[in-house]
Amino acid sequence: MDETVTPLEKPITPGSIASLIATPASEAGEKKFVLVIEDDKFLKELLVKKISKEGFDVQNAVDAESAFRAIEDRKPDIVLTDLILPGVDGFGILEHIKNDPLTKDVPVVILSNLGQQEDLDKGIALGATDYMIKANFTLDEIVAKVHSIIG
Amino acid sequence: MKLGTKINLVLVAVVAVALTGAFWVIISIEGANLKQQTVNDATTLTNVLRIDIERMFNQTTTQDGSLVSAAITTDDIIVLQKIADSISDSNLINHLDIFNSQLEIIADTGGKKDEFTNDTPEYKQLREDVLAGKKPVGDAERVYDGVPIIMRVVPVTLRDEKTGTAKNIGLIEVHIPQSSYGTLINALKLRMLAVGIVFTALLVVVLAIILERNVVGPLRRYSVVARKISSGDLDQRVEHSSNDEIGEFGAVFNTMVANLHELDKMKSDFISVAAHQLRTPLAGVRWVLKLLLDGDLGSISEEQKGMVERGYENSDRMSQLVDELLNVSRIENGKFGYKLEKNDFMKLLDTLMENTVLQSKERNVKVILENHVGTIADFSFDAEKLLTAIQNVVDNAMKYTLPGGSVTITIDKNGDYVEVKVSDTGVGIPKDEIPKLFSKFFRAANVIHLQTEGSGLGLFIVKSIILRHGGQIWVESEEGKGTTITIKIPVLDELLPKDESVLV
Repeated sequence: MDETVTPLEKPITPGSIASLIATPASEAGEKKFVLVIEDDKFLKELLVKKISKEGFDVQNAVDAESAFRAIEDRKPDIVLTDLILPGVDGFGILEHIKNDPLTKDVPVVILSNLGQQEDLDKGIALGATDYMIKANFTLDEIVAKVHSIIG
Repeated sequence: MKLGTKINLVLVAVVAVALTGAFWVIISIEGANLKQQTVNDATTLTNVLRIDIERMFNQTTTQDGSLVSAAITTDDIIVLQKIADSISDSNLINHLDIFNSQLEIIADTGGKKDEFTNDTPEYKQLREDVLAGKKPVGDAERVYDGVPIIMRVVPVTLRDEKTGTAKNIGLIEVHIPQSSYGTLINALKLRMLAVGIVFTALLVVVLAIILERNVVGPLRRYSVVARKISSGDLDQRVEHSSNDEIGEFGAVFNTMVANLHELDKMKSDFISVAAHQLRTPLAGVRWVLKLLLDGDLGSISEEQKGMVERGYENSDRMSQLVDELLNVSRIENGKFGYKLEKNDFMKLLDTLMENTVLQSKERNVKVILENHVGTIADFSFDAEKLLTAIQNVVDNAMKYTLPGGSVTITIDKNGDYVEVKVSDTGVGIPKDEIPKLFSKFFRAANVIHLQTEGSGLGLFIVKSIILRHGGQIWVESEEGKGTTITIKIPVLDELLPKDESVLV
């Protein structure tokens, strides 16, 4: 962790979070933070490896709970989320991010193997920036997408 | 023969047999009655004559108050002959004979006094018996002068009122023609026949209506629905309200279709789940191969790179196959998600041609576009899906054409339709396999060994896309010479189907 980041002290109040967010880490010259929510061990490993190689800070979460903890710790610049997850699914995470005024501006890209038109429509309706089918895109293309959104 | 006609014919036959039987019984009973009635009438008439004749004899023979032998005067005979002659006017009796006690004819209709001289002994005996008082009356059915008759013989009896004795002094013989009641019976038969025909006709009409309403009609409606179901529309159900076997059949039929629907959905769901499940490990394989190829995992030799490249291409095909499987499952669930909006067909053609350049070079197959219409005003279609469909047909044409061959795409306008004809100089399709061409997982026998790729799903998807656009697709092919696939799609919104259901 960089020194510029002030750890939050409990109890957390909206004010304390706001003051923290007022100075985004990235603006302070820090690497942009990519949160990858993916429960498949191998895919997670490949994603983290590739994205961090591109010069991003990457953190992985395997479910909604760990994802929310990670978001609380540090506001991500972009979230890549799978849809089928244990417990709350990707749509639930997307909804949570978009409903929270502090995180609603964070772009979320759905990275899933569900490709039904209705899944796609639902994702976009809930505020996803883009929708990518894992098996049909290479890591390069995914990284290019991340660059195009937050680069 | 139609079911209704068959049942009607059987019923008509049964009714005809039953009516014939019933009428036969009625006619026998009624015929006997009519005969009896005629005989009774004849008897009454005979009795009147007999009483008259007896009175006549009585007047001449009882002057002295005692019974003496009857004498018949010439005047009497003239009177009797007149009576006999008048008989021929009657319908009931056509012949009258009056005999004396020696069984000599003293009066005869027609005046032939000797006509029974050579009569059959049987009838002579009958007359003798009656005269002798052995029989009160003699009846016989016979043919006389070629006419069937009932012969009736009654005695002329002389009574002595004082002593109470009686003596037969002669006979009266009458002939009752059987035709006198035969005509009545014939008239009865005619009436019966008329009634029978009218009754049968009415019955047939009533039965036809009942059959139509309760059996044939429902069956016809069921078969309309069944035909729709067999062509793939599993949302169809039959309407059944009757409590009979037909209604029960309707209910069972609906349950069967519901089960079929459920199975079909399970199959589609299975394809969908399986395809989704395949995607995760597939993504892992693809990503890792790509990392290797891009040198992200360290440098590899050219030879290794070539092999990995081929591995990656294979994963690419697998990814396409998974996409096609998912598309099929979506099409079957009516969830392919069409976006029909005004688009430029010429732009679609441009994209199509751009997409063929690479493959055309690689395979050394020339692709020629012959546009016979110039431009077409924007019309409604799903640009992405229609491109997929036409692209698939063109790719197929290239795939199954040997190097040096060509593929010609011809665009024509035919009424309210755009016609896209894709002709190749390829291997062709065996004739008996053409009808199966658009079904799922079909691959022609002559290409299975030619190419390893191809899921057999492409043309199924193509067809459903074309149908969704209100279009048609058909194939003409000659093995060894080439294939022409024609796609026809309407340019008018009115010709587009209303929704996505039932298109496969």
